[in-house]
Amino acid sequence: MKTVYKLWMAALLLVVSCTKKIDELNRETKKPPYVPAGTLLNNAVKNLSDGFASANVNVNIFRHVIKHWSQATNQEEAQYDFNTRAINAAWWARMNRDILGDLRDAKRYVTADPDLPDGVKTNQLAMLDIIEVYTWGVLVNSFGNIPYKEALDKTNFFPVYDDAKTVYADILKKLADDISKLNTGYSGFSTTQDFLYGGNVRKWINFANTLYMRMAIVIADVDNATAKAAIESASPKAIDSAADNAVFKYLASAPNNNPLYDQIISSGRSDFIAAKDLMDVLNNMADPRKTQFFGTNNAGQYVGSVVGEVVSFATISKPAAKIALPDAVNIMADYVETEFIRAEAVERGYAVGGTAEDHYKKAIRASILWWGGTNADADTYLARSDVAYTTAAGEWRQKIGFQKWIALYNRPYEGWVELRRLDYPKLPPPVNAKSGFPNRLSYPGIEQQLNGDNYTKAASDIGGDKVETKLFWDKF
Amino acid sequence: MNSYVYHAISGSWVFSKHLQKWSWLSTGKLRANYATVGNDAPPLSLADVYDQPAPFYTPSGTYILFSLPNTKNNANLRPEKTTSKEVGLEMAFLHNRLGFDVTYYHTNTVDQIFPVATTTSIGYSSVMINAGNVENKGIELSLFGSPVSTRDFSWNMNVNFTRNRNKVLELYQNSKNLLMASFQGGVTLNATIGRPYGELQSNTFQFLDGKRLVNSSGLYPVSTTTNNIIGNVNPDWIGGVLNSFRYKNLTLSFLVDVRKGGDVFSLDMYYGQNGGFLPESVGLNDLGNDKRLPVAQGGGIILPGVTDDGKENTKRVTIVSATSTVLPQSEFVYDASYIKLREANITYTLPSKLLNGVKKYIKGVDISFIGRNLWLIHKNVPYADPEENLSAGNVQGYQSGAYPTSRNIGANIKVKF
Repeated sequence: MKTVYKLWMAALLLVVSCTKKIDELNRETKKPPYVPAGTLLNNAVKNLSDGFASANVNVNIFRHVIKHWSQATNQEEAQYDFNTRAINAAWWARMNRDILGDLRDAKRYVTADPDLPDGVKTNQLAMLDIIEVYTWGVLVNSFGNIPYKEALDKTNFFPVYDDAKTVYADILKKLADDISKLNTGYSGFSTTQDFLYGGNVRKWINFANTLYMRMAIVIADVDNATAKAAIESASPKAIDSAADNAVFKYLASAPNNNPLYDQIISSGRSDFIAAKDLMDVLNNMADPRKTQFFGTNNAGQYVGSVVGEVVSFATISKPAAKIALPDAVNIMADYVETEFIRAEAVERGYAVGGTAEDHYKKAIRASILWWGGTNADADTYLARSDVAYTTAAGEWRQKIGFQKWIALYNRPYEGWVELRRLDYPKLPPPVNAKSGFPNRLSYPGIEQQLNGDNYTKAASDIGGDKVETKLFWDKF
Repeated sequence: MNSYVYHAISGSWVFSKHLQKWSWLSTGKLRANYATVGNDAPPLSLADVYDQPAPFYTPSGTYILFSLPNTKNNANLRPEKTTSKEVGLEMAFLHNRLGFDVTYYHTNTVDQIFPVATTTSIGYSSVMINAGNVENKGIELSLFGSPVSTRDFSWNMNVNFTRNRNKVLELYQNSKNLLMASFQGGVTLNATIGRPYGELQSNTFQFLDGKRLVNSSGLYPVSTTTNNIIGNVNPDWIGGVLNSFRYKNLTLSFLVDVRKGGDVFSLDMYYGQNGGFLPESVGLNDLGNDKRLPVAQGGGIILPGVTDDGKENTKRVTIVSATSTVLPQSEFVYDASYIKLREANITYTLPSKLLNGVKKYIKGVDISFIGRNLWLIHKNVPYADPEENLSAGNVQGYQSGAYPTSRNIGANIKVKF
């Protein structure tokens, strides 16, 4: 009897296993085929912030390029070697694949959602587009001509590169359009789908306008009329206090902590140190931000090292502990840069109100306060003859360029754009530099292998795929 | 439900049967075959799904993140197909004392299924597709002979030789180059149309009349392009010789393996010199001083090469701790040829008279000593074994953290009951 029972059980099992459809074996059951749009926006914004915040030698080496930091042991990055670690390819992939791809997909979901009220839908699409424009801007300002019109098409493996100037004009237009569509009468994304502002549409308007000013001033030297109109329209609605800054808030616990915490603290990497170029300035001008930017060397002194030169880690200042806290925030757009742009706008004759000196002082004061200084610290610093707008060295490009270079500490990518644009301060090349100053990143090496014909054309169109090649807006 | 048909045909002709009057011919066989073999797609490569990065758990709620995966799946995949054609000739002479087996083969792998690397401008870094047509053709030859064969002493010999040539005939869409792998150190492995499957590309020197160009700072300007071919990972040929000698109860055999050609990039040499771990990164310069000292203190080196005007470079440069900071990747590509004593083996068979008392239970006893990887007779890759590779399969020609090959020595007692 027992044997018969066993046989029956075996037969039953066989029947059960046979009824299963063979197609289902090939179905992913652990991952979703559809997701909410806001979760894709979250991922895009996090990737954008990670790229800017990181000091990983495979991701973001602009702290060395703008000579805020140097390296004790490894010198390749500081000496402008972007190819060995394929930093350019990583930057390109982050912007295209990890950010723009997700945003495009999110737009598709928002557009197709029948339950979303029109006003909310418009706000959400505008917000997705603002981050998209932000990202396209980073690509253009990093590389020059890029695949744009034919990009993000998964059926076309060989997208044509578009002219940088044309792309830039188009994204500026889109940004203006997005700004005009944002409506505080409707909500945007929910709190947990909006890392930057937790669903506050008014703050998004401020953020978008500061972004518009930032992107417009970049082309001021080559297209003054467009820059003027954009900045005059954006300035009244831009970020007007640190409370409205667009900041990405990292968490105190892994894995969503600030990338700098991984690269400086948890990895135990003894390589990143203060560059002499910035440290000498902070020392000589008694900058109240010095102790916020950097710690001391092992002997308790504030010392920077020559970029590109091997040096003993113990003898040089390290980045300050506060920027490497796991939950240190990362700035995506802020009041400080808004005021610097206003100062420059006044100098360029744009109608943004106030004087250049006034905006310059507000910018520096806001920077000092943000970093933890007091109003008294700011007063003392601003009173110095080498800081005060009327007495500081050089004409406006030099004064603003120099102070902005300091204030963009820990925002190395933006620092790189401004250094190329304003051409101040004048920084000597690192020891054993592999090339001249990088006015752009060379195209990812693998573009030559994967999109060769279009790459070759783009390289010749921009005047050679070299890091020294200047972008269309880089006139001086 | 899809169904696909594959077919194969093979035949052979033992022509020696018709030539029995030629007593010196022991065996003669001609064979030929043709086959198509299909291969399926890997699981879960049809439908698209999202990846989920770690969420943000905050007091104001949980921020959920989803991300498009890096590889675009494809619901329209076809099975890949390999067509192979082969002809072979086997012959043996003089009562099988001497013979050979030679095969010529030609295979085409069409519609191979794999995640093809794409420019990330498309929003993905790879797409699952059916791609291309890769041709492999080559010759396999084995010779065997018994030069001596007596009651007490015999000598047997086996020689193998394989020569393979592969070529990429077709890729996907208008692609001219398939990126097979991107390695640390800025080196890629590629299959380019009309070129061998598996070429290394990266930075190289710039040349003036065949001599390395040195710039005004005394350094090598590296090429601005990274698609310069710096090596081909495919060997020219591989082969092996097995000799086996028997004297009465003692047998000695050894196998020598040879690989000729094929390149390998060594990240270990690249970083090892860069970080100053290897003896190559220290030493005296032409002035007799430590070359790592600054130029001002008599250190530094003069890089061999010519300047723009074709004159010999005379500028001394400081190299701090790194030699590779001034050398492009092509300098760290090595010829992966080798000659190895792969295996040696001594076997003693106990004389049967020793087993007289226990013959009922034990039919024979063999005692052997076996050694593998005993001697790397010749190689061109510094420090490492040229056979070491980062991974297996198609991704070849790249060493990173190469382990020394282990030498195995073992003993074996075989008792036959």
